[in-house]
Amino acid sequence: MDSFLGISYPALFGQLMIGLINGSFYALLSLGLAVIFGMLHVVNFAHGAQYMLGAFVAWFLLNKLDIGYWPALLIAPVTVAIFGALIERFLLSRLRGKDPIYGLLLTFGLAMTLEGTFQYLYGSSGRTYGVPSALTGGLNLGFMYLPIYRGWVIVASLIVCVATWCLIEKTKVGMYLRAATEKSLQTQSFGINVPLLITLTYAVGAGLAAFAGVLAAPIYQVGALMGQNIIIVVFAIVVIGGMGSIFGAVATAYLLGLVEAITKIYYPQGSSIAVFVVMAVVLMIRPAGLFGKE
Amino acid sequence: MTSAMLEIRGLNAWYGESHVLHGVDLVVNEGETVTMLGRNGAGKTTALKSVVGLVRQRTGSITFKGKDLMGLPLHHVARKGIGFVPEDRGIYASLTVLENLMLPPQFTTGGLSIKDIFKLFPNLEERKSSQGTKLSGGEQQMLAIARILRTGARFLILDEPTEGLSPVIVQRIGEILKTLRDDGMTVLLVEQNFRFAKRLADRFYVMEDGLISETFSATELDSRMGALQTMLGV
Amino acid sequence: MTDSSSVKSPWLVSTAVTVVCIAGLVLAPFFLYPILLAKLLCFALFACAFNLLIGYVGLLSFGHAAFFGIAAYSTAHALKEWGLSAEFGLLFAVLVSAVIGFFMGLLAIRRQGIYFSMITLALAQLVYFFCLQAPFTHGEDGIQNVPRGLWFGFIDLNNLTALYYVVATLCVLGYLVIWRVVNSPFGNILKAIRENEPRAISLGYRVQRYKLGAFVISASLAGLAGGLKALVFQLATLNDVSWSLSGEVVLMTLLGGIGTLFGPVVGASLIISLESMLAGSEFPLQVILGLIFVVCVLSFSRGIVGEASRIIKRKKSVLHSLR
Repeated sequence: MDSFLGISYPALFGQLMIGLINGSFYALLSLGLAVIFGMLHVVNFAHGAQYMLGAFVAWFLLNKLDIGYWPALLIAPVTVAIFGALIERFLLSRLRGKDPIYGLLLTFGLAMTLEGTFQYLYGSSGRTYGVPSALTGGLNLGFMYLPIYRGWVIVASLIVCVATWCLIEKTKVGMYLRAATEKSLQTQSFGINVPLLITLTYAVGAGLAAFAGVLAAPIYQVGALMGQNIIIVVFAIVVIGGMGSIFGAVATAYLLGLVEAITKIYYPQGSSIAVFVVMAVVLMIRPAGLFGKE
Repeated sequence: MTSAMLEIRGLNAWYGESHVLHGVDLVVNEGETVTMLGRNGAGKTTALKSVVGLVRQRTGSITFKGKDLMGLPLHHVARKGIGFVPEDRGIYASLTVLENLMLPPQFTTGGLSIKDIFKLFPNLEERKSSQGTKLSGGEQQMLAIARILRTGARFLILDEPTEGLSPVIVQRIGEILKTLRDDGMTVLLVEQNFRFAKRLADRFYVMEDGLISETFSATELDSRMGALQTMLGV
Repeated sequence: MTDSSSVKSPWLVSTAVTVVCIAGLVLAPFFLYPILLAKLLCFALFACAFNLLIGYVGLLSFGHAAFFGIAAYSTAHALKEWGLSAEFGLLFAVLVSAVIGFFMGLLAIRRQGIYFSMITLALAQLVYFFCLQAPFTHGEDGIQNVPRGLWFGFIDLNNLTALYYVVATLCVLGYLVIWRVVNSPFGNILKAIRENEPRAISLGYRVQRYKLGAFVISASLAGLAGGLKALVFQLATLNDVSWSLSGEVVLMTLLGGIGTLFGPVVGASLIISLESMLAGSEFPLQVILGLIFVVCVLSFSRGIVGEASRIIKRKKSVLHSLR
């Protein structure tokens, strides 16, 4: 029998694959959000715009400077990270110690400004960005067809998530980060430059969003509003996972990508609201989130 | 000839709206162990935090080895070789014991190596992979002192190190501080337990309502004991 | 001797201001386009309703467009498909908003601060997607050509001046409801909760109930605003239920002054006027709104009204000290 509950295996696994891919994007974006929230206690509303910026930088590099995908995977995140560092240093830092709501509102305003600017300059419709030649085509795995680029997205996001986890848990800088997250002033009194750490954290978070943007460019079109649609889902995921937990954010992201996919198979109209319904349910049962600490 | 390491002149400090210190004058000379006595709420912790920079609303003058401390950003103070052991010990729950130990950066040479620290505090080595806050109160106090010793700081500030600890641990801490003193470490100590302080301190300051009310040397302590006990409500 | 005059004057001032405002409302349609005025009033009410939560309970709802939009759709549908007259259509809309507000509030209030805001955002998205997919909303087209009909059976709402007066009356009533809630024992408890929730709990207040009550009132009034908007423009679209509108109402309140009764009115008027002015041109409205947002937040804005009342208070105390 090559079907399951009425769906053929290729269709089923194809859909699950899409779920994993979406989950990969959700994971990269949740990771950035969780890292920023952990250190700065700011909900970075500009995250979707930074994702969009990453894609646009890649598009710009290709179409104006003839620089291809592989360098763009490095250049775009670094560019957006620098931009993020400037945002933190000159704007967000003024809100340190204030109610986190201010940070949310500021980044919301930034998102509006950025997305509005790009919409004005480039219109709302998307531009295509070709799949890099090394990753075109697909593999026939028997039970499904795997487009190589899609497989790459999943692998790349897993690598980056694991690498970030290692950075936080196993390195000296990661240790400083964890200490500063727990007790900012005391860590400073030991001589650790926490303000710099904060700026770097925001920059890295923005860079992660941009990295996701470059990965997304060949799959979704590069458009001014591409961040808007995905960012709300990512917020919901971070709420489900528990906003303090980085591991929770990433795990929940992959999980929900799959949940979305399964919903799409058996109840297509529900797929876009699946995440929010899960969120409502989780909030009723466990308000702190699945992996949350509060 | 010992020189002044820490000089505080006319220090006023505020915690939010309340004016806690009203003009504190205090000197700690190199190699000395100085103890600040006083009732709860007198402002002792505020004074220590003002030196380190954790309290930022201050006026007056704080100099360390002749250089101004007040204008420094918080994360530059430790670089001067100042080590602070706070009242609540400040052990990180999100770090292991070893990470807690390794956290404060070494700004000067001369600090103890991890090996030496573990020789001095073998129980810390036993628990080195435990979560920092899983240690007992006494062990956390040891850890808080040990991590400063690793940095090579030559000026130690301790806020009520023996508070809430058993006599055995208090004795151990006393021994450690004595060894440090013999080694030339300069110490500023806040203590309520003046029997403990008596054996270590060279000089005493008494703080009352945000001002230094008296100062005397260790030899004069016995003659003042009665008055002190009344004043401190012991 | 010196005190009695300074006690009397605030009373006189606020009465005078009220009279001026009412006169302004009555005379305005003779100077300005009634539809624009009605739009200003609807959004002013929307912003005031939002401000009830953030200014007086300390809860930042990032999904308030859900109530505005669902009410717009409800009114539009009731008037167009069910043939209800406007007053019942609006009543229906307010009820729908209240019910949705109740359930949204139940979930959101479990958490505080930023978590509360995130939850309202995501729950509002649920409402958005529902509106996107439900057949009765006609998706991207929205509900168009909503008939205005007769108010109370005899006022022809297609007469723009009459429409304006009905809208103005309802908005003023809504504003008065908010004023009454704020200046009441209920309102005082809300303020106590905002100042120091643990203390309020220890005093025995069922804090969650009060918060939920405020949430439902805020949602209902936002719903009234949305229903009125559908009536005025004869249109209900997805934009009414979008989170960019939720963001806009935050901006209106922030600009005008969070926690002041009149601030949101000023903020809404400014933003709507700005939108009208830029409507024809190519100027990127989003960019300007975003920049205003950033500037407002960075200056820890008490908002225009908040800042004005602070200056007035300062002047008063200077005058006092000169005596």
